[in-house]
Amino acid sequence: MTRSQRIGLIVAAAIVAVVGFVVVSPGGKDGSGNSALTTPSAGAEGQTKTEAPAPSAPVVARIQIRGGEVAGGPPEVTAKHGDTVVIVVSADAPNELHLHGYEVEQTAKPGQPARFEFKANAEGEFELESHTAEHAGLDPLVATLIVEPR
Amino acid sequence: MFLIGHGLSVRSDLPIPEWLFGWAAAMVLVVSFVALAALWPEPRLQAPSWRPLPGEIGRVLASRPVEILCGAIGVFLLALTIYAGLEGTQSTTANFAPIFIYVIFWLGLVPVSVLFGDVFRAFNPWRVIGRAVAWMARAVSREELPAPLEYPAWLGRWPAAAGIFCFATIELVASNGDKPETLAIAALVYSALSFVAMALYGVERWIERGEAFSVYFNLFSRISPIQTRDGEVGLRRPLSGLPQLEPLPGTVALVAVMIGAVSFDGFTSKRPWNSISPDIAQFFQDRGLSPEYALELTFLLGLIGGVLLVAGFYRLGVLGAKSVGGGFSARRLAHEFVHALVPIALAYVAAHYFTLLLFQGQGIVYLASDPLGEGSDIFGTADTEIDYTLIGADATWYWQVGFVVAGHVAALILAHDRALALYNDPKLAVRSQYWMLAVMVGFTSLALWLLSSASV
Repeated sequence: MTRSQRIGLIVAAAIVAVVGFVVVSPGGKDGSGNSALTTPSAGAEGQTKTEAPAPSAPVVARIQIRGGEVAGGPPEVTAKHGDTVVIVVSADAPNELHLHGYEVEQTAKPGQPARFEFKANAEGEFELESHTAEHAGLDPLVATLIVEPR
Repeated sequence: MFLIGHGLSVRSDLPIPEWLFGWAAAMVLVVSFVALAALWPEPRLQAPSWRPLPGEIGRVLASRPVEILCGAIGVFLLALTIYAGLEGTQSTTANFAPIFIYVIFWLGLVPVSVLFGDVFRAFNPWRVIGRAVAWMARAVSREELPAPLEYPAWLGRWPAAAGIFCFATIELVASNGDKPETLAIAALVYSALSFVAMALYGVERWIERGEAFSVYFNLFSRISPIQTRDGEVGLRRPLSGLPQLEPLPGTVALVAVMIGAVSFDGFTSKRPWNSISPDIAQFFQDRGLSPEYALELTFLLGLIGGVLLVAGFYRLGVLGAKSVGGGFSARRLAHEFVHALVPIALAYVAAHYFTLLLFQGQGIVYLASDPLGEGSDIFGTADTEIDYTLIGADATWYWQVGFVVAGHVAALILAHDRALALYNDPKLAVRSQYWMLAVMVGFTSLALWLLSSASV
C-alpha cells in the first residue's frame, strides 16, 4: 500500500467514523431544548410549583420551609435568559435567605414570606441558600436556580 | 455540613448539551485520524529551539531589580494571605485568603504560565525567602555554606505529586477546606516544610523537583513560547518545552494527580457519585465514624479513585504501546510519553474552571480593598460586585469544547513527535501511536462526559 493510498484510507475511515457518530449520537439541537421548561419531580409534590408557559409570563416558584427543612426537598427553578423570575419562600420561623449570583438577600418570617423578583440575565446554576440553616450547621440549600440561554 | 465539590461554588456552569457533546467528540475523532495520517513525518519538537527577544527587552525582564520586585510582591502576598486567613472574617467569600489561594493563585497562574512562561518562579515566595536566607548566611559567616545534601534520585518529582495531592485534598475533601483559617495554617505548615527541605537539599534543587507549586506551574509553562534562559527572556516553539521535560520518578504520578483531581471534582456533581456516596458514607458511619469524618473519608476515597483511574488508564496505553515491539520496557515508555499528558491536564483545568476564574476572580477587586472582610476600603473598590453576566452559557460551552479539543490535539502532536524520534522504524512508531491515540481519546471523552449533560 503506498503512502497516498494509506492517507486516503484513513481519511475515508475518518469520514465514516464522523458520519457514524453523528447518526448514532442521540438527539439534535431541537431535541435538547424541549425538556428545559419542565419542572423536576423532586420539588413538585404539591408544595412547590414552577411554571414557565410563555416567554412573557414570569417564572413563579413557591417554596415552604417547615422546621428548618424545605418541604419536598430543595427544588430546581428553571428559567430562560431574560425571563422574570418570582420566588416566594414562606417559613414557620425567621429565615435569612441569600440568592447567590443575583446577590439578593431577603428574610422570611412567619406569615410574611420572602419574595425574590428579578430578571434572569446571568446564565448558569445559582444557589438560593439559607444563612439561618448554615449557621445552625444544616444543609443551607433552599433551591437551585437554573438560567438557560434563550 | 455540605460539600458541593468546590468550596467557592455559588455558581456553576450549565452542562454542555448532548448535541454539542456529540459534535465535539466527533471533532476529536477527525482530528485524531488526520493527525495520524502522516502529516507530520519528521520529529520537529525534540531539539530545543530558543532565541532571545530582540534588543535589550529580554535582559531587562530578567534583570536583578525586576527579580527583586517580583520576589517582594510574592512574599507580601503570602504574608497577606496568612494574615487575612488568621485575623480576618471566617466567611469564605469575604476573606482574601480563600479567593486568592483557590482562584487567583491556583487557577489564575495556569493561563499566565501557558501564555508567558514560568512566571511563578520569579514570584515564588519560598524560593525568594530561601535565597535571601542563604545570601544573608553567606554574608554573616563570610565563607561558603556547607554543600546541601544530594537530592536522592529515586525521590524525583514524588514530593511535588504528594504536595498537589494534599492541596486537592484540602480543596475537594476537607469539610473546612474553604475556611480562611484552615488555609492560613496549611500555608504556614507548607512554608515550614519547604524551608526545611530547601535547607537540606538546596534552594534551586528543591524548587525544581520538590516544591509542588513550582513543579506544577513549570509543567504548564513548558507549553508557552516564552522561556528565560541564562538571565535572558527569549522565544521558543510553542510546546517545545515539554519534550525537554526530564522524566524523573514520580512524574507520571504527578500528572495523574493533576488530571485525577479535576476529574473527581467534575464527577462529584454527577448522578452516579451522588447516588453511591451517601451509601459509602453511611457504611463508615455505621462503623463508628462521625458523619463529618465518614463523608470526608468517602470523598478521599473518591479522589484516590480518580487518580488511580487516570494512572491505570495511562498504564494500559503504555502496555499496549509496548506490545507492538521495539524492545522498550513499560517503565521507559511511560516516561517517554508522560509529557504529552500535560496539555490534557491543561484542557481539564481550563474547561472545568475557566468560568470560576472569570467570575469568582472578580472578587479580588473588592477583597483588595477589604482583605480581612471587616469593612475597610483601601482602594475605594470594596463595594464592587461580581458581574455574572460576563459570559453566557452558550459561549461557555464553546470555550469548554474548544479547550478540550485543543488539549487533545496538542497531546497527540507531542506523542506522535516523540514516537517518531523514539522508534527507528516509522511503522512501529505509527503502530505504537494507535495505543496512545486510544489513551488520548479516552481522556478527552472522559473530560467531555464530565462537562456534559449526560447523567447529571
